[in-house]
Amino acid sequence: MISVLHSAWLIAAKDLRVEARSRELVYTTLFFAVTAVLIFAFSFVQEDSTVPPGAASGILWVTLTFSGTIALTRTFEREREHDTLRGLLLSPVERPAVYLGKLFAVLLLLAGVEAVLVPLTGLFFQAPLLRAPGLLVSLLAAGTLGFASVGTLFAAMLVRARSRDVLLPVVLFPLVVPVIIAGVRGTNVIFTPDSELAVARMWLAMLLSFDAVFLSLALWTSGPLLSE
Amino acid sequence: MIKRVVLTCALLIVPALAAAQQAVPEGFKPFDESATRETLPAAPMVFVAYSLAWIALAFYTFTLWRKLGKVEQDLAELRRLVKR
Amino acid sequence: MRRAVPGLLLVATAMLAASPFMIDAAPPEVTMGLVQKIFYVHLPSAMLFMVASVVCGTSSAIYLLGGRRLGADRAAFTAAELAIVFGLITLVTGPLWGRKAWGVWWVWDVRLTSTLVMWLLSWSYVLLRRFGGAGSETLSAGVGLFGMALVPFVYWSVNVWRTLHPKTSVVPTLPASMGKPLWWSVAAFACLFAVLFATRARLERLRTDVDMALADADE
Repeated sequence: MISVLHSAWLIAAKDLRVEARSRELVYTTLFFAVTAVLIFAFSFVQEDSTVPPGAASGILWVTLTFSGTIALTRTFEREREHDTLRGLLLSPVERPAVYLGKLFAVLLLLAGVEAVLVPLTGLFFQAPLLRAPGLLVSLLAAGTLGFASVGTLFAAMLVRARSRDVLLPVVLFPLVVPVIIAGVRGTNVIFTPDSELAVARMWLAMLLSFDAVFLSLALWTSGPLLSE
Repeated sequence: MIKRVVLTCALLIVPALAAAQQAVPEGFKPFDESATRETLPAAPMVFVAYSLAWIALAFYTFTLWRKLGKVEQDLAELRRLVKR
Repeated sequence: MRRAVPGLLLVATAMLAASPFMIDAAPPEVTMGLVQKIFYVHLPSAMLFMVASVVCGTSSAIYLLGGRRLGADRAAFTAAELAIVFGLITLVTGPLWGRKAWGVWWVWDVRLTSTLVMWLLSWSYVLLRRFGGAGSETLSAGVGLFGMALVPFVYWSVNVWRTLHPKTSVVPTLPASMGKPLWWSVAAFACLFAVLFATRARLERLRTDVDMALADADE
């Protein structure tokens, strides 16, 4: 168990070191997220500067979904270009460790994106971010974990496939529908001034159970699925 | 293998039926002729619904049959080639 | 199974041919009138869509975790295709019924939304198989397995979000005059499903045989 976590950490550290040198993923994903939010702002902010109710939370999670998909595609594309994934799979490291390492790296990347995206969305769409900051952060963390746990696995599997760029969203989006529903609804509760925060906590509980189930399932199947 | 799977399918109808118990709207009661009619005509909806169902199934069955015929043809030809 | 197909096909055709008469003989329902007759096509399709999805998920699990047996893979792929066909019928006949009965084409209630999401998942399975290139059997088996695990979560999340599709069970209270055509339709559709499943799976097996014969011919 410890060796799996240790190996996972080594893999993640390798990814972070590579990323720290070029910062390619951080810059490109962040830029994409910011421009996406801008396009949403043009679409949804009315002439009199009001914002439709529920727009902020929806836009936040949609942008996260698309940025996350791009980040995942790009992370594994980089591995494929240098054929390093085969090296990883050939090394004496268990598959779940490879999966966990990649997952951790993706999570950190998405956390960085969210650190900019959430304040920006709050600014553009007048969302009360500080109403329940702990709950908001928890929702985002749990939702990102759910999205990334399924996404990392399938992105890794698709590395060898044809049409992998479009197939990742095709496969991933239906699978993360509950995450999106829970995330948007929970965030919307926080962003709506007089609503009952207990509802958001319920959505958080749902997200956490999704994470538990799908993380376990991904760890369990990472062996058979990543064997090629 | 296929035999077993098809049998399992047939058996799975039972739990599907059980689940479908909830799938039907409430209170089905036979029609009373003296009641007033609704404004939106129902007949076109029913007609379109049934036609679409039949067309979808017929189309699928037809394409399946055609593909099957073609593959069987290819297989027979290839087997002749291999024997030679 | 191959010998059973013509027989089953005959039974299915005969039953389906007789069904309009049975459906017509059933009395129209009081609040919904004629349009409720769509139920006799909608419900069997919905049930078979569920059956197909379960078969796809189970076969995917067997394929992934039980030694990569080709039979399981074929069953999963066939079931995914049939899920698309029967799901399409369900998702089209449903709104046609709903437009008349509820006044709207579409509502975001738990059953419709869950069906739509699972239908999209069957599409992603099939698209992955068609366009994923080599090795997509394993990938799609992953999709099937995860899809099956997803069902309770989709149901739960959409259910908490909204509910409209009436929940009460009505089939036991269905008068016998309506029950007979319903079960007749279900049985007819089920026979058709079995025929389509066996035929489609046989097509896949023959395609594999052709590939192997081609390989032999090259030698």
